[in-house]
Amino acid sequence: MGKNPYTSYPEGYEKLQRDIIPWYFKPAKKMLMRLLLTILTDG
Amino acid sequence: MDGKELQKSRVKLFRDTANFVKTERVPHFANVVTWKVFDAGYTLDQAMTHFDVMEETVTRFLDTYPVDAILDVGIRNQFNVTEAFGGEGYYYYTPEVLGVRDHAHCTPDTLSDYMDDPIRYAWEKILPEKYGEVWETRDKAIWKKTFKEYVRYVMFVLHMAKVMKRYGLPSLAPNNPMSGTIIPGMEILMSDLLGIQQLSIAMRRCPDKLDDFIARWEKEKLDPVIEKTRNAPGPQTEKYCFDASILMLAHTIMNKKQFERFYWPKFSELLGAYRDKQMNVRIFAEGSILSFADYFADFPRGTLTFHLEQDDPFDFRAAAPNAGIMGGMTTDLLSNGTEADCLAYAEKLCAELGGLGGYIFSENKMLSYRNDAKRENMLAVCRFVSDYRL
Repeated sequence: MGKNPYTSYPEGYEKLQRDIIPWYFKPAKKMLMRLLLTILTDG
Repeated sequence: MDGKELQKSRVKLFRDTANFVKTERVPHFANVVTWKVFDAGYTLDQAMTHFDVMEETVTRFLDTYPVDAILDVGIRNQFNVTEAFGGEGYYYYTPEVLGVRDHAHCTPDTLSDYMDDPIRYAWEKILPEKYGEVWETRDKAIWKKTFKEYVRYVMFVLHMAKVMKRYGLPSLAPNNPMSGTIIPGMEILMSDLLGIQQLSIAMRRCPDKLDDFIARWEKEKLDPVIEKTRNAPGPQTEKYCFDASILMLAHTIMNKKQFERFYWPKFSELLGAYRDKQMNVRIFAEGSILSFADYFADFPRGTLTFHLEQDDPFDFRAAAPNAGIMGGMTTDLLSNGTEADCLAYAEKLCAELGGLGGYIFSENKMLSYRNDAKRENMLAVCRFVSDYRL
């Protein structure tokens, strides 16, 4: 794949969480990412 | 009554009705989705990503039509999130139509990969396939914007819960977009993972692969629900009309033999757990469930309420007398009938089914399109049901 730092797994997926989730949401980051994934996959 | 008291009295009305306890009136559960957008004078593109407009369509509906609960309070679609991300989604809307394109995330051979690590599978397979070249071009700024929209959506969900409280409208059941829904293995296979075509073929060509997937899925997703239900103190009558709401659609592509193999074993265990705790379950049975009615005949009154889509409620009552019924009012009548036709049928439903108990008035299909109901018919029916006394 290309040079996008976020498209690899698990490295890119974890970097994305560090880069976009504000500190005050960190305790819930796993759940937030799961729900975001559900939305993006139209699940 | 203030909102809280009204909410409580409506929960009691739904619960008593589901339990076949005599009530003063028939509750009306409005099976209304995007029809309310048109009814409020908007088109879908004006409302889907504009939360202020969406809220207005909900409150205008509730200010106009006297109902006891509503299926959708404007929170069912998260287009603001997917639009911030860019690219094409499986769900789409035009000014007049909200639809979903047929899709399948797996093949029978990749179902085990999905179950091994669903997040990895989504990241490496589903998202790159869905978004194509767009996937590689999403940078930090776009992801941040997407996350911001996602938080905005969550805040809207929480806000609409407060609005519902103000109107005294109860929640349907404790499974919502925030906490996940109860999904049998065959349903996720049909709706997302394999799609209708692949699943229909797989049931005949490679049933063992389906068995393996269903066993893993239901161990992970349904066993915890069963365990939680078995340990629950009893029905959650403070806030919810039902203890669970489950959608059934996959039965429409199965014969009885297939249903008994792929669906019924864990599903009957799940329903049995609710039965043992005297809890109430709503099943939205899409398509026709009539030919499967005998599977549910042994459950005592109160456990199951079927929201019927295509079945005649009188036929279903005869086939499963212990099951509660929701629905009955057809969109065909609401859109093509006269006001007198609609009122006559509403009266028949309330008098004959309501008189026996276990009947909740509702529309048989989710009112989605402009022509799903005439305004004057809907208004007349809502007022009639609200005023009707048993």
